[in-house]
Amino acid sequence: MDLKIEPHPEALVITPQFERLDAMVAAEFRREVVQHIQNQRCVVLDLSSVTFVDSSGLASLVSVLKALPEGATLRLARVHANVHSLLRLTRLLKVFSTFPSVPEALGV
Amino acid sequence: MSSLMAPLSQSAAPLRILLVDDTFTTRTLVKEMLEHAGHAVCVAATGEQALTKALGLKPDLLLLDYMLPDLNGVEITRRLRADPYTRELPIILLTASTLESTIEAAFAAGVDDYLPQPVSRRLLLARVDAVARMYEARLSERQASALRKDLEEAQQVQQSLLPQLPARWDGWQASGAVMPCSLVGGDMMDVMPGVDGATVVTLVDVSGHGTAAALVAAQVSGTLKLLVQTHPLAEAMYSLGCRMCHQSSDHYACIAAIEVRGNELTLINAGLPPICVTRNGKLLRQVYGSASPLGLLPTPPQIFPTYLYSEPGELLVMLSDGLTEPFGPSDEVLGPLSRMGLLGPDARVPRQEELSERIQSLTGSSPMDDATLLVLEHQAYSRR
Repeated sequence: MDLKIEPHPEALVITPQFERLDAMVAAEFRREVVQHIQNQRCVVLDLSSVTFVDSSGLASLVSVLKALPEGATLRLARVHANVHSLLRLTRLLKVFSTFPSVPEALGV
Repeated sequence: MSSLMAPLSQSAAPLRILLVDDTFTTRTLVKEMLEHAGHAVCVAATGEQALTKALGLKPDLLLLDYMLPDLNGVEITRRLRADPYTRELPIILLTASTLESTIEAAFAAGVDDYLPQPVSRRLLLARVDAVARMYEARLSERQASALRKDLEEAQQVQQSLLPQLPARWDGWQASGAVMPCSLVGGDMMDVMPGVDGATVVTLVDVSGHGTAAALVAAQVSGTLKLLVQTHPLAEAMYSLGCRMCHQSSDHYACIAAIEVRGNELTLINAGLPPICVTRNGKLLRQVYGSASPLGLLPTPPQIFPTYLYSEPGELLVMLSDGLTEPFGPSDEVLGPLSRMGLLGPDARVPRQEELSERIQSLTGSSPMDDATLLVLEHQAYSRR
């Protein structure tokens, strides 16, 4: 799975290097991300490459959220317009915080 | 191993073979050849023994000598083929005869192949393999066809769960169609009685598609049907959401629902593309994001219903995401609506029988997801 993983002092930044987060890749995406987020206080998912998320992809994002350690936060950065509409239709903008850039997500 | 030995059988799985021959030498020789290739062999010396053991031991394959003291191989084959338990047992006839009439009679009785005696090791193993492979292919073909039949029955059951459309009541008409992308799908719709004489129209789209999604869709739709009979829509959806957030299924449900009570409407859209309210081909309003899809989050749902007062001449259009791929932004919803003739200057509701065609023209011949369209038409002033 093509994921770029960058540890920052404030958070772990994970950047998927693919366009479609769909049924084909969702399970693997969930597995790999969950492996990396153990012991993290803050995780930023840079979704700039992802232009399409289907129902399985959406479920994988929620399960990453569920797998976070107690008290840790998940932030989505650079969310594509299509994906943003999906989060709006499914009322998940209340659940995921979204940020226009990675530095803003990191709070620096 | 001696270099003179022929290569061993390529058969992947060892077989349980019943070898029937009245000659001790042949039995011993052929048994050794088969065992050396990894097969398990039991033997019989007479026709009667062959019939008993074929039934009792249920071998994978029968190697049958033509000339036996009591019955000949053709007669044994005939009897085995007449018995439902051995009708499909692969049989290879061993025969010293090269007479065409004997071989022809054996095939007519139902043997799968024959081997000339004395038996060549190479030929024996090759034919055993070939017959076993043929049998396996027949078996998996039958399993596939049983599975298909099963799915076709499930498809009929699922279709029988759909409401009779168009449905008319009290100045309203609901028409719509479900087009699953395989035989069964995760989309369901319903038109059902609610509390205090209300009518509730629902479209349920369970994540994923195929049989698992269909099972969840039937369960969700059935539970909702019971709930709306005794609860106002918002409470029914909340109750359903609470049940679903405690279930361990990976499937969640996007649901659009409208409770119609005279001219008063309650709309809830949990994760489906916007419900579009139109009049004379113009878009008046879109309703979406009333709640997160039920069962997606591990917490009880927060539901924000929209209350509308509807005028005659209005259309309310509900879509599953299969038509907008993915849960499209509003532009992606309005495009399909225009192309379906539900928006624009000549807008009119397609006749019930046209709906499937309209959906198909949008999704193409091999859609990737189930697609459902449900149109609610306010035709006249309610008597209320």
